[in-house]
Amino acid sequence: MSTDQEVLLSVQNLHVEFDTYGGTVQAVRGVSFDVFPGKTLAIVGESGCGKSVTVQSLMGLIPTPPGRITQGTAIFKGNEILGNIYIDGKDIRGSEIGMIFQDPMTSLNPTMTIGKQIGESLLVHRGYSQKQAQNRAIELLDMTRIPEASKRARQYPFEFSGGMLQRAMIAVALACEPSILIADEPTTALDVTIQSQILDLMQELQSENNMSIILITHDLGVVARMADDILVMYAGKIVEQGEPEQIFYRSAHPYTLGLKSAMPSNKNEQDRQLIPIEGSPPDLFSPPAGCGYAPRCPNAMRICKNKPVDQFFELEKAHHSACWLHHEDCEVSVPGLHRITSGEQK
Amino acid sequence: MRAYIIKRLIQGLVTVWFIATATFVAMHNVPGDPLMDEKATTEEIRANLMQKYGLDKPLHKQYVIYLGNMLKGDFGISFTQQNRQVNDIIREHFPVSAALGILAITFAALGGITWGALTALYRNKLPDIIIMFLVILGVSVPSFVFAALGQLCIVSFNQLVGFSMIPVAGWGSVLHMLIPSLVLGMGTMAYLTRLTRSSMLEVVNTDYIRTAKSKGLPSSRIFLQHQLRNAVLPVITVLGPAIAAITTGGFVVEMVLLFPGWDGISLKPCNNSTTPSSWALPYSMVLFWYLWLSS
Ligand SMILES: Nc1ncnc2c1ncn2[C@@H]1O[C@H](COP(=O)(O)OP(=O)(O)OP(=O)(O)O)[C@@H](O)[C@H]1O
Ligand code: SF4
Ligand SMILES: [Mg+2]
Repeated sequence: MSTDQEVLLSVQNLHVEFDTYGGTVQAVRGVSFDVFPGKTLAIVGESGCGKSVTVQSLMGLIPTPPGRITQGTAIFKGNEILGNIYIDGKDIRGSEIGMIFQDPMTSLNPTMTIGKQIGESLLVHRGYSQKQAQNRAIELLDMTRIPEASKRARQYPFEFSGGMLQRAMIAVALACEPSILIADEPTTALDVTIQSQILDLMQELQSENNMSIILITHDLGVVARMADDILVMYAGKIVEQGEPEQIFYRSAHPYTLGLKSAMPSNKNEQDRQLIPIEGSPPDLFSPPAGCGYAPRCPNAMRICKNKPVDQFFELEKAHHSACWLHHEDCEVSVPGLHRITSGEQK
Repeated sequence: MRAYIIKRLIQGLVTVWFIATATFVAMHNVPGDPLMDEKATTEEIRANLMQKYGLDKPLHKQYVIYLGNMLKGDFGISFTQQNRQVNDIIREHFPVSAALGILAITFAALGGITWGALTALYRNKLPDIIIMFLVILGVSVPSFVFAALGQLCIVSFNQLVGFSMIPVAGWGSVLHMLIPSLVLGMGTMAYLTRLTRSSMLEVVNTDYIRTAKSKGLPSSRIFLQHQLRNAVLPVITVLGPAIAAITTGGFVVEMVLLFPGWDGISLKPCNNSTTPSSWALPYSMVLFWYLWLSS
């Protein structure tokens, strides 16, 4: 992580719970990370590990009840935003932080023109007139490479294709030039070529506006292409974090290894088999007492079942792993797992 | 589009023909005939009258005449109101029913959407519980009870102010229509309240409401521009049938409140069993219904 830079958003020890009929779900259990200006932070992990809940709690989008943020802080430009999304009485959503979602088909209001939906946040946050907002909406559609923008601005979502809608959604999120764009699986619902165009667009707009991106995805290919920093989440916790090179080539957590071997690659590895991770994530009603991954981990030891990994082991600068294998007393060796060399250990 | 319209027109014609025929068959199978009620009819007078009204002709001829006249829009003359054209009777009474119906539907729609929006806004809280209780009352209590209760209320109100401020029954001013339209619209309003509520609660969980929140819009704007706007759509689609139901379904109210409307008139002959003359009236109600439903 580029620690030499000033931090834009710093999240510390975030805990989120949901009350359900079956009991209390501990969806996020102590997540911390920093977001730096102009950089992309990718969050990866299996379905249900708490990625969406993490970013939704930053955006004040957790439905309360049943949801509840029980602990943590999130400092954005020097202001606490957890549980209070207003800075100086102004809503920072839409103006300072924009968000796009997985399914562009359902994310836009079917009874309002695209232009109006883009212009809305300009009316509200920037005090634009209807006319100014509409003109700016056309510019934004143009910027997101939608042809015939002025005609398109007057159309309704059903007149757009999925890829077009995601572009329009990006225009909605970026209308006020926010400093962070949160993208929760922005390309999962789109086919591969469209996917790639949308990612290109995001990168282009990012460098034009020096905007940070928090990108949530299942797809390690997308991560490799976009990320400056990566968080690997499992069962509501971060299990490994680092730069792409560290995560992909010097993986230091058994779960990351598992994700990698379950991922197809386009390198010349025809003989390599894809190996799914056995079992499924733990239910978060009663998270495992020890390491969350212990029930599925091929390397689990006795301590793993009893003692939660309550610390990060630093492997190199900005590369951390929450796994007992890195404990100085552990002598087990795991093939493919990057270890702290004695010189590096502090 | 054109093929669709043609298809619907043909469907409409077939439906109307079917109803006309069914009415005809039903009327001829009811015991008695239109002249039975006439006092002191000699055989001779009877025969004359039968001839005058064409009732001596064989059934199939009557049927052809009936359909032919109907095509020309001529429903003949009334038996009960001597020598008046049935069309005139409809023309005279329909506006009364229509005015009442329009008032009732306006009241039902505005009330239903407002109450429905409130219940959704205060979901599972006191206002929601109270309104939903009233809705169940509105759905389950028959309209003649409301009509009578409404009259009682007016009577006490008039006593309170000391003079007859709101008329209790009859027809004349807008004030006359106040209670009848409230009563007539009550059931529909209750139904629309429920519809609006469930529609609002469905919309509140949609992705586009989440998007609206992620844009940092004020909650009043989200409520009006995004939630209510979309939630009202299904309500509007049932307004068509509701209008037909209200304008033709008002006869109970009209009878209790002595209203000279279309509905009361068209069903009165049925009660007296001197019916056949008034084929046109129930029939025109059906036609009206059909046109609404297919529009
Ligand atoms: N509204 C809610 N009510 C109850 N539980 C919830 C709610 N929202 C999320 N959860 C729970 O929180 C956990 C984390 O969910 P989250 O949506 O963050 O997963 P995710 O990592 O985004 O997965 P996916 O990749 O499928 O989007 C899940 O176990 C889910 O059951
Ligand atoms: S702590 Fe133990 S169970 Fe958890 S990942 Fe490491 S080895 Fe596996
Ligand atoms: Mg998610």
